[in-house]
Amino acid sequence: MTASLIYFPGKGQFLSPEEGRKAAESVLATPLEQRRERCVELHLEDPEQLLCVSTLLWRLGEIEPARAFREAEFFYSFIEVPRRPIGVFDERDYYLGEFALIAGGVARILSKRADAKRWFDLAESHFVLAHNASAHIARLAYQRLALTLEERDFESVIQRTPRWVEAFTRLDLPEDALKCRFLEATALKETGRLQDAKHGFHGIKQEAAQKRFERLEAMASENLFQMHAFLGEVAEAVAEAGQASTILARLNNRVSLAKLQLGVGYLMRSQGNLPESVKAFRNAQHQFSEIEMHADVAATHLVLADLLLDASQPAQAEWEIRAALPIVDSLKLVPEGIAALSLLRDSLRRRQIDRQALRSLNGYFEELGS
Amino acid sequence: MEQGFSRERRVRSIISTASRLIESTLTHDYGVPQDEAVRLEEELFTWFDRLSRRPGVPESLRVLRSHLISMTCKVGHVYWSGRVGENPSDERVKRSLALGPEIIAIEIEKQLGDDPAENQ
Repeated sequence: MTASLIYFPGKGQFLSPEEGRKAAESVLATPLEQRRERCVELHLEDPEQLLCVSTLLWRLGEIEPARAFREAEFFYSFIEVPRRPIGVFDERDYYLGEFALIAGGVARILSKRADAKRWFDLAESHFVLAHNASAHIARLAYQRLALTLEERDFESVIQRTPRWVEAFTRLDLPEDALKCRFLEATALKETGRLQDAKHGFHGIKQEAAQKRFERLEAMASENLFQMHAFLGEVAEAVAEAGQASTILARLNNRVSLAKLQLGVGYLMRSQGNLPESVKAFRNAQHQFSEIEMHADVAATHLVLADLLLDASQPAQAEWEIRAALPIVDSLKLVPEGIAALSLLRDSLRRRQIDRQALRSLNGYFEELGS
Repeated sequence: MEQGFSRERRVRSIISTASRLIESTLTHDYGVPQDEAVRLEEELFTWFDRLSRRPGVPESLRVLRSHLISMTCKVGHVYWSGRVGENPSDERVKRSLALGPEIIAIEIEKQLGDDPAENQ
């Protein structure tokens, strides 16, 4: 291990990078309720281990977001109360900021937007005290921008993104700059500027491939797939799906794999293949459910309801909507969402589903988890 | 794997290049006693190794090196902040404390030159 050159064996202070990695895996396999009392044995205060844990949690956020949220919450509160001295120099502030940022980022993926905002504020309060604060504040700005996208304030995203792309470029953080461009392309897609969006995703995919940012390359492919599917460009869609799924499976990115499956559903629908479309949507829904992405489960119920109405199956459609409503109720909706929900409820009472309300509510949900 | 290896190489390269300068900054610019400077230098290198693996830290040698120098100056500055009631008698240390760690870090980077590889 060449890193031993900069680790000081014999000091007995901190774990080596290799020890930290093993300890991090071991601590994540230990039930949360046992950790505090076993904190010395588990080296929970070790900065090397905390660094490895934070790296693992970012990955876990794309595999099991709900679990990643609970873990980030645990590590944040462990460091915060009682006040523990972590590592040297700025490390305590950095780790508090990083775990708060992970919790906020994963809460965003889980559509817990109020939680996400609270965690982002906490992250900011720690990052301003840490070394390299400007880069961490920029990373936080990216998460807030992504949240704005999920709140469907697309014009604001389009307006603010170029400034952060420039900030990340000047900070010499090309991957983060590309992630911002990704948000911009998504906002363009959502506002119907499809050619601009397609151009944007192509550029991201190309640059990500050049720089070996595999995750971003796969996600750009996934978005291109969705756009081709939406436009009925079947051959291109299938090619993109193939490329995306290979990389996503290798990265075990379950969130994006589930979204890809959703895209397959839309593609089949655009081709008029109802049975295959329903099958793909149900598959996607099952995958969202497994990773506790409840808003996406609800959104898929609404898509299925719309599809079943097309197939003249109103009773099944009603069942889908009724299955979605308890989940929708548990989420905090913006006024447009509440209005659509209320119209849909009224129409259910009349046993005559309001198609427009269903589509409005579905439109509102579509981007919640993206 | 290759990426990890090159990161370690970069970190080692910076440490080997900057080691003497870090020690001299702590002892001469900030008047930290020799034994204390050695201890702080070890902590700085351990911290720097972990810093290089944080998200949000660029991979370029120049930027990485500037993080190490910047923290060295902050540590030297804080060393005196923690010694309540004690004031340095050395004029160079007084100057460093008066100018602040950011300015001293810039001066040190200038001494090292633009290309870290040139200093190996």
